[in-house]
Amino acid sequence: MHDTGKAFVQFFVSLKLTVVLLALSAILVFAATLDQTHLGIWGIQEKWFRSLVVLQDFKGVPVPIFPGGYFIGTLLLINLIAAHIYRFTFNWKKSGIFITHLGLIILLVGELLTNLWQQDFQMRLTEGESKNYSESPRKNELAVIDTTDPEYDHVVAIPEALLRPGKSLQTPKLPFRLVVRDYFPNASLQMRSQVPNAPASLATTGIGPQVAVTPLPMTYKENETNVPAAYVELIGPQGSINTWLFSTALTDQTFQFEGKTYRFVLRPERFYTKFTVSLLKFSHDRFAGTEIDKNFSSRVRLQTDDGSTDREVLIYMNNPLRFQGLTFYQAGYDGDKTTFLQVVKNPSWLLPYVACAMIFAGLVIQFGLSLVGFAKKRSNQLAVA
Amino acid sequence: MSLRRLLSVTAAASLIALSGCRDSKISSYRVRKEAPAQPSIPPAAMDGGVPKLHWKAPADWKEQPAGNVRIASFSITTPEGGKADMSVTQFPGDVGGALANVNRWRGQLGLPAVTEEDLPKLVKTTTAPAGEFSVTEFGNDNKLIEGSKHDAMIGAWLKQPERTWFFKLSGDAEIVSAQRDAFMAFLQSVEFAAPDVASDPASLLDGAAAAAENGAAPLAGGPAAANRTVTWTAPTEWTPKPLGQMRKGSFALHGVDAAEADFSIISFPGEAGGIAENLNRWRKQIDLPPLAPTDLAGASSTVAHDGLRFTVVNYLGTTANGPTRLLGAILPLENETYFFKILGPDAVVSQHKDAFIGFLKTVKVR
Repeated sequence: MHDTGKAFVQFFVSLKLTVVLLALSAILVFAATLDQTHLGIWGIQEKWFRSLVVLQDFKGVPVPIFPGGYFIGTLLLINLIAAHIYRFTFNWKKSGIFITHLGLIILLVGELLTNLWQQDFQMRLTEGESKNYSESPRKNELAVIDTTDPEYDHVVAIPEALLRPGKSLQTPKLPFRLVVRDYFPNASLQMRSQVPNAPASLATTGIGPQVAVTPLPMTYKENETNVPAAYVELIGPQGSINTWLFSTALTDQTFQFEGKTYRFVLRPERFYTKFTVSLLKFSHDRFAGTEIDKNFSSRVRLQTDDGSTDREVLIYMNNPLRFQGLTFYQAGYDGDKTTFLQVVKNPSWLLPYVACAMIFAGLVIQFGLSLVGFAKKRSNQLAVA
Repeated sequence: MSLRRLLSVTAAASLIALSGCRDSKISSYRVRKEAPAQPSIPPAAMDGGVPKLHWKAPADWKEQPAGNVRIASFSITTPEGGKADMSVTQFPGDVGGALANVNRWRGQLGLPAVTEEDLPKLVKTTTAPAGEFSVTEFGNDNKLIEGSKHDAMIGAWLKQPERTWFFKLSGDAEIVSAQRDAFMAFLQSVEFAAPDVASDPASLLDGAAAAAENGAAPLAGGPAAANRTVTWTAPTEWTPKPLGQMRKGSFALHGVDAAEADFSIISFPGEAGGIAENLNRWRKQIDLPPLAPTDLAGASSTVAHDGLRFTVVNYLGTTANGPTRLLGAILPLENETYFFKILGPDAVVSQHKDAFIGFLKTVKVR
């Protein structure tokens, strides 16, 4: 038993494990790069890097083919920490190595935390428009909005990931239960009159009965978006109420129940903030006589709900706005009046900077100590000679 | 030593636990009301409303994934190892015209370019349900590599005002020749479907508007800007009804003998297909034939008040319920269009005509 424990420890602290893991990382990056032609940049990140095991679909059966990024990264981290705890005894001569390795550990942990915590959103603003929310570029949500209150909307947001056929969704905030009758991650919607042979609709109310839904394979191309669609049945205390078709290609649909008005919409996931960003002016400069972009910038007004901040900010390439844990980057434009800001929430954004500084400092200290030692030795030798 | 081991295991366990802590949950929150939400632009809208093609392909044509340019792609193989490729593509405009197309294809086979005078000999036309196809056919008898097979091609194009569709079968001469009839049958099977709903919002609004008046919601596609608030004051004898799903206002108008007419107020983003299209939609609801836009103008009047201009119509038709009158007004605003409509038995609607015009004058836009 004692030997087994020892072997276990030896395995985790071994340099061989480090080499194997580094080699696996290289293969992982290479294979994922090749797979990018099929899945696109976001698809491979989920499949190859943000997973414990890489699963490949063989005729509908997911088969594990390679350890995923989380698995390799976690083992590397354990290997590094365990080796330190097991082997390393601190003394001043090795302080540089210690700081460098600590920096490496922080870099690995920072990357893991970024993967886990970072959220990307986008904000599309046309001159004169204000928003206190940004939207997810890839994830959607079914928003059930109680609009009865004249001043406020009470929103229940159901992530698209929960819209799975047969799933029953319930929350104390709603007087009815939502049961997903069918769900298509990507679909084409056409008026039924244009598709005479379309199968019968599951929807019983709203625009749904008049729309034909044709499921499509999911797209992973960067310039295309999936158009999800779901049939959802509302079930109240007295039983089934009605069935709706929701899709990002449909506008809001409203419904009255027990004296309250609800609005349903399948929309990009929203992230609300306690401040409002208004686009005052979007500037788009091109090189004279060409359509080649020279510079683009957004002058925005930033106002917090509590009135503590009200100022103008100029956002341009490499000069983002950082405010309340969010970073607003100038990401794109649509015409000469509309800007796209990329909004990133990453609580661990400082860690890579700290890690790099530590690695740099550690190396300087280590080489510095060696140099001093070498110089001393040499001067001693000269003195003896 | 045991402490070290404990630390290692704890670090490993916490990291593995951390990696599994992202899951989706229902959330709820309260937000201040905003201007009506901006509809998202579905990707189909980005393709500029290119109609979808349907066809029937022979069973021995193996469908291949379509690429960035190809709309459809098939491969045809023979047990002897012969190969041919069939592609369907689409480009805006006429792509240089017939001569340029023929010479481009000839160039692909290593054949010399031809002149305008040669075209009538090389290009034939064939009529199919989708339109008139120009078909050309040629082969290269010179073996590029000794022992290789001859290459041949049958190409066809279909010109439309905005774009040209290309159908090309190319490969080993024997297969291309054997598949000639199948290719021509393929052209005959080509059909155009209407553009996607999402790519042509105007085409939807007819159906969607009718649905909304019956209590449903329209499909996305309107403009983004914030809408203004529209208010009105209804006569007290009009009985308010539940709003339904899309109605901004809904009233029952009473006549003698418990006869009743329905008054609805709805709005749609943008022009909602235009006034002419909507007036014809209304005419259809009371079984009246559609009118040309010029005739429609003559059959409507304008009520102007407080800077607002209503297009008002008064139509009498005969439906299954007897003489039915539709009294309607359309109010285009900056980003949306309002529709006010009384529909019901002729006697009841006529009785409320003056009240309707009076009502329109109470409409205010803030």
